[in-house]
Amino acid sequence: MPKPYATIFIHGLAKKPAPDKLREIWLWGITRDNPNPAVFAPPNRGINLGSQGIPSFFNYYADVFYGTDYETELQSYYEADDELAILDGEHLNRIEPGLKLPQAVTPRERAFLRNFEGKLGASAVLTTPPATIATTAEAVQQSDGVSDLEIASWLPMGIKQAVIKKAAMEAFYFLFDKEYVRADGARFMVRQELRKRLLDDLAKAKQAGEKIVIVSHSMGTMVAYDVARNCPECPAIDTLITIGSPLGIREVQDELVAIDAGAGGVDFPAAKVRRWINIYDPLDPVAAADPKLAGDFRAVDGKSVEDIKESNWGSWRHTSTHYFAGTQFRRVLRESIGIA
Amino acid sequence: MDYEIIEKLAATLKKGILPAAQPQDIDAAVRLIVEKLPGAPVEDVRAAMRVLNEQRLFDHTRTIGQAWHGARPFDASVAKRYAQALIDLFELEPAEKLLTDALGKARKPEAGAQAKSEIPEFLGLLGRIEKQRFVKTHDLDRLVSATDRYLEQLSEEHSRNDRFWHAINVIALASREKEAKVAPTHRKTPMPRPEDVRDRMSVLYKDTPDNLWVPATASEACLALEDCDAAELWLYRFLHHPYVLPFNIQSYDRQLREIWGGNPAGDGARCVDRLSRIIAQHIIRTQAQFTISTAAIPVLKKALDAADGLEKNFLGERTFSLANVRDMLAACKSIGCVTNKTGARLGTGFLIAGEWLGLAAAGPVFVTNAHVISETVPKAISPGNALVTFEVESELAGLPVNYAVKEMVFTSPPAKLGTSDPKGLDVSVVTLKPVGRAEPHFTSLAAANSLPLIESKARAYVIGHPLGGGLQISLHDSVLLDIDDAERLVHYRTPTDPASSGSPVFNTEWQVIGLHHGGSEKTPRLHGAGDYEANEAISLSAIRAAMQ
Repeated sequence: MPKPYATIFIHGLAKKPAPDKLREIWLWGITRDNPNPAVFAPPNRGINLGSQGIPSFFNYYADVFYGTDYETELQSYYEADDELAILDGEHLNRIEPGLKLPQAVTPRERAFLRNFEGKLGASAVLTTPPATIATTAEAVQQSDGVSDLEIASWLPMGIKQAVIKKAAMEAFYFLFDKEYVRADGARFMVRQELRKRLLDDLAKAKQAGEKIVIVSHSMGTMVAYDVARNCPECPAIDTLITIGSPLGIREVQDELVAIDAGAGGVDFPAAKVRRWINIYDPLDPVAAADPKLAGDFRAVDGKSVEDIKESNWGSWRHTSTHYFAGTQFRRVLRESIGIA
Repeated sequence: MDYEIIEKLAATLKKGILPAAQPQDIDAAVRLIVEKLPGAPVEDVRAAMRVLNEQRLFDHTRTIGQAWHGARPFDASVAKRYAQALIDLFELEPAEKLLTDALGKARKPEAGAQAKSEIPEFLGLLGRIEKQRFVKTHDLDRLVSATDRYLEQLSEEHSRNDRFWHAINVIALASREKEAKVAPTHRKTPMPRPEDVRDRMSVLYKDTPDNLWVPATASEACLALEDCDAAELWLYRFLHHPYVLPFNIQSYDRQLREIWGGNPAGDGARCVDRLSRIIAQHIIRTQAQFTISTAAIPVLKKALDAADGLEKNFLGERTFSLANVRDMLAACKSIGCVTNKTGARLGTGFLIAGEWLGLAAAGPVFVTNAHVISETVPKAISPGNALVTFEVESELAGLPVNYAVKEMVFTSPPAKLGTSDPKGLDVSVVTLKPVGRAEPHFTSLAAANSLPLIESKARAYVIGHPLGGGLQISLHDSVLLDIDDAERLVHYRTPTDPASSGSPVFNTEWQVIGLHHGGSEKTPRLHGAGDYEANEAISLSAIRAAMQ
């Protein structure tokens, strides 16, 4: 008997733990009660999807780039007080040996890489001292974004470059559907492969639940939008939640625009998606270049993106489990799965 | 079902490891092991049976044991595991027959060393069968017979190295005989002395540090000697032994409660109560089980509302947050005990919003089993004779606060366990009226919109009045096992006792998912053939659907 709702989670940037472990970490992030009372005042109840009868599917694609040499240093996923450890745990602190960085061929590809890296770099290298980092949810609510707050300036330059390179690599291979030859010789047409994997998971979710809710993070938001807007076989998605998304970057939008979107550029995937909520921290280095999406993705049939600002706290403000701790995210997820 | 997953699980089981897995997958893996039994190495089968017993999945061990019995030659270790499972499933007669046959074969001159090494185990299990018969029936002849069996083993040649394990059982059972004022005169074998057992254990503790039963036996010997400080010390050594499993702790816990009469809720004056309490506290910390009296609930709730300092001491367990505990305690006030007019406690029930059940403006209604309140079900209390008491309210008031049944809103008769019948839901929904008091302010429990998923971490918790006692919360071994395809029946392994009937069954967020109505060691499975040890609830959504 199908359940009323099924959820699909799509992960983000860089090498990840094994699929089962990543699933466990994400569910832990969503389930825990009052996870950081200094940032989000209690009550901030977690959501136990299994207990609420909501099947969850975890769309996994990190192996396309990184194989099955999974991330095994997991402590940082559970620890929020050491940002460098988080970066280490999320494997953002270095470029793996053998990882093939993109080689742009066409002028458009070259322009994409230059501008994408430039925009992420601009977010990550502002030099204002970190004294004014907003921590509490209230402080983030009051801030307007990058202009008055420092972003990731505390990061050593090598790490900044590694983050930018990885983001650029994943975005480039995906958006231009490049063939990626993994270190072990496996070959993938990246956009086709990632689309196929998500469509497979969507088909499973459709069997399991009457309505589908997608929760996507970081680079995963690109895959979610692409499938919802550019794959006719995509089933109806009741709610699309994007968190820490780079979809605000113009160069990303240019590669995702649908052929029938007209001259106005990217639009709301209204044929497939009922509601789209975008949650961002203005200090998230991946989202910060243009964190709000409502102005970029043209409204269709009266539907437009709902942008919600939420603290990711700390200094490295792109962590998925921090977003999962947020009261706004949890409110939205509750609404989306009918347990508000 | 993914065949590769099942094959992998079966292979892991044969290595003596049970990873987190869904019940139906374990079931399929066991069936796969049985299918391949004719060519399977005996070591693999022994390992699988061992781990299944350790994880209390006795019905699966029984399945393998039965199949082995018909397909392969006698193996003493397989027989031992099979018999252990049968005893835990209370199939005492088949277990006794199996052990008697096995003992005969192992004692033959041509039997191998492995078979001979199991002889003391067989003897111990035969003693345990009699002990279980006594526990189940309280028949003193069984008690004497159990003592005799253990005593008999002390003279067995093969028991020489293990006689202290048998001796401690003799000491425990003899102590129970003494308490029951039974004085058998027929015994010729001298009774073992607890000080000898204690001294031997002190030596073995140094010589065989890996043997986790040494400190447990020493603790029991000190209990017999009424040296409570030493008994506690040995108990702590046992609880913190590196190889101890929940299964082992439960064995000693059972021995303390069933034979020595230990009560963790006792006032602590008796040594055995102190030991039982230490084990209960340990289980709270490590396995999330606890029992709480209603008198403590308002105090605990107040303390929880005021500060979070209790969280660590109260639970010491990662799964439950302060907020979760608060919800759990809040739920207690909506759970009532059903008695007849003579005050005999016969069941449990709970308040739920009538609107949730589709009733127009009914306000909170009381839900219990039809076999607890009904005009027509045999042995149920008739609505006119039933009284409901909410213990938290009564504790606060300092006197019993009773409610009578105002109106029977809906009822559906009971069906047999495992029968998914929309017309056999074993439920009565009634409205209540106060007895000689003003209208109360009832609080309804929250109801879950959807049943939980069946997955390795799925849990179902029960709060009720087991054995007619105070309100109890059981968090231990609360595995959600299965839900039928019609989402009408819910199976779980939460321990419950008679008079838990009518208890609410909760998901991990303390929302009601079902109405507990029974359980058995042989509850028919909801998927696949056979039976297993399970409790059964009727889903609240099925009750709502039937009321429309």
